[in-house]
Amino acid sequence: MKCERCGQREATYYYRENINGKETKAHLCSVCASEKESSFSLGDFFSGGIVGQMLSPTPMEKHKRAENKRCSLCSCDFSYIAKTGKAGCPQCYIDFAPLMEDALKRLHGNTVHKGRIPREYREKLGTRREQEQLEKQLREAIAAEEYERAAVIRDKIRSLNSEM
Amino acid sequence: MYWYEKEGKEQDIFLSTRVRFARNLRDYPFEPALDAPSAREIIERVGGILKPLGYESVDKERGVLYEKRLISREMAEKKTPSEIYTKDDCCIMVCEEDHLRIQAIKSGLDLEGAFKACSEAEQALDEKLRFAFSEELGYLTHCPTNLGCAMRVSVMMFLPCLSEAGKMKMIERELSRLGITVRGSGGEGSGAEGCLYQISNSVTMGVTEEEILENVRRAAESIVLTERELRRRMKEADEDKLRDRLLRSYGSAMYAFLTDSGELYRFYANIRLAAILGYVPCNTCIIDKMLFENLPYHIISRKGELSALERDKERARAVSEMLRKASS
Repeated sequence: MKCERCGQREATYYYRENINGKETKAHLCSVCASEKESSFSLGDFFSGGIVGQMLSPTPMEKHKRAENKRCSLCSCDFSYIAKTGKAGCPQCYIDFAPLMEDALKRLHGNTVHKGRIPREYREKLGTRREQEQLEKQLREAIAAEEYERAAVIRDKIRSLNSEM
Repeated sequence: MYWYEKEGKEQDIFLSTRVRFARNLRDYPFEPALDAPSAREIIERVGGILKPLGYESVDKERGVLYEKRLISREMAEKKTPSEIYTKDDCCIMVCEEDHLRIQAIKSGLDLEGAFKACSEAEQALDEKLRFAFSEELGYLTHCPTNLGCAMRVSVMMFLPCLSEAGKMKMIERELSRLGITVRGSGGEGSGAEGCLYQISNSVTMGVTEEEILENVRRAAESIVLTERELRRRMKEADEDKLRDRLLRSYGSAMYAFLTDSGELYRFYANIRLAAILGYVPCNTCIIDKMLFENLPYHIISRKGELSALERDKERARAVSEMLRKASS
């Protein structure tokens, strides 16, 4: 999909803005997205008051559902996170995941973790990442009509799958 | 020996390179929910892993460690249980904002060196602890801005000419678009005294550790080119005037009877530039030491509680002594 603002680059961000109840949505490229966001600093974005504003587009029913919900580890409720802009404990990110999703997307863009993996997750996630990498290579090889290379990659994927 | 006393690469611009990982233990809450016994438990567990590896806990005054840029201001001001373990270039803060802040500091520009040292410390802890992690969000941190790699890479740069030319605001704006932050040297919220700036990554999600290193390297390289060019032009435009201005500052520092912290930073910037341009017989390490070791907590640590006036007197004396020693 092309960026809805410049119409030239590939859209990689989903931008949502809510000003006094008027909601604007757009699929943007990284350049246009960063221009849109430039009036905010990342640090301010998730601290104190701004987080409250940021959470305002969240539908009312979500808030209602959140009222009684407490984190299973630290027992804080969602209003604590919205007020301080910080998580009460690591488990908050998991227990309040649906509520934090939008805010985290606005903070970090539409991206997921690509970096290092801790020891206990390494085997499971490492294999999955390797598989994704190979699938990408396979698509590229097919697109370039390099069928011999594609066959080698396909075999590698098969052997990885059997290991999993 | 502290980082600022060691020789490093490209010290005319770079004072230090720091890599820092934030890590948290899965089964403990963050502050303020983390109570004192739990914080002590974390400190014990981490100490139990680090001490056999040669790490030592540091009992020096926290204010002094902050002035040496070894710990954050937050850590220095902390009232609840917390601990600092160090070994060589690594300094690990336990129970700061996050349960663990693992950092390595190298003199001059040394991104690979700092990353390697920090990674080794992190790996050693990863072997024995269960870090809070999510497949999509990466390492789970107290502040959501650090999620992902939870890695901060920063270089401390001496930029007198860019600073004087009023270009830093523009650089700050440009780099913020690339996910790079420019701050005063004392970290968040501090001014750029002594023409010292910290350049660091603000993006930690959706990138690999290596990409973060590369982004900071590129940002720093672009600044270096402009600063060096400005230094060359400034020298060409009117070297006599420049030399006169810097040497007057050197003379004042040498003979002042009262020097407050603000003046120390001004002396520092001028004398450091004078040394780089070869006008005074000092190397930059001595000048950096002159600055860091004459900040308020260092003076109190050396001489005990003094009035502000007495501190300024002691500072003036120590600066003069250091400069004399360096030139003899």
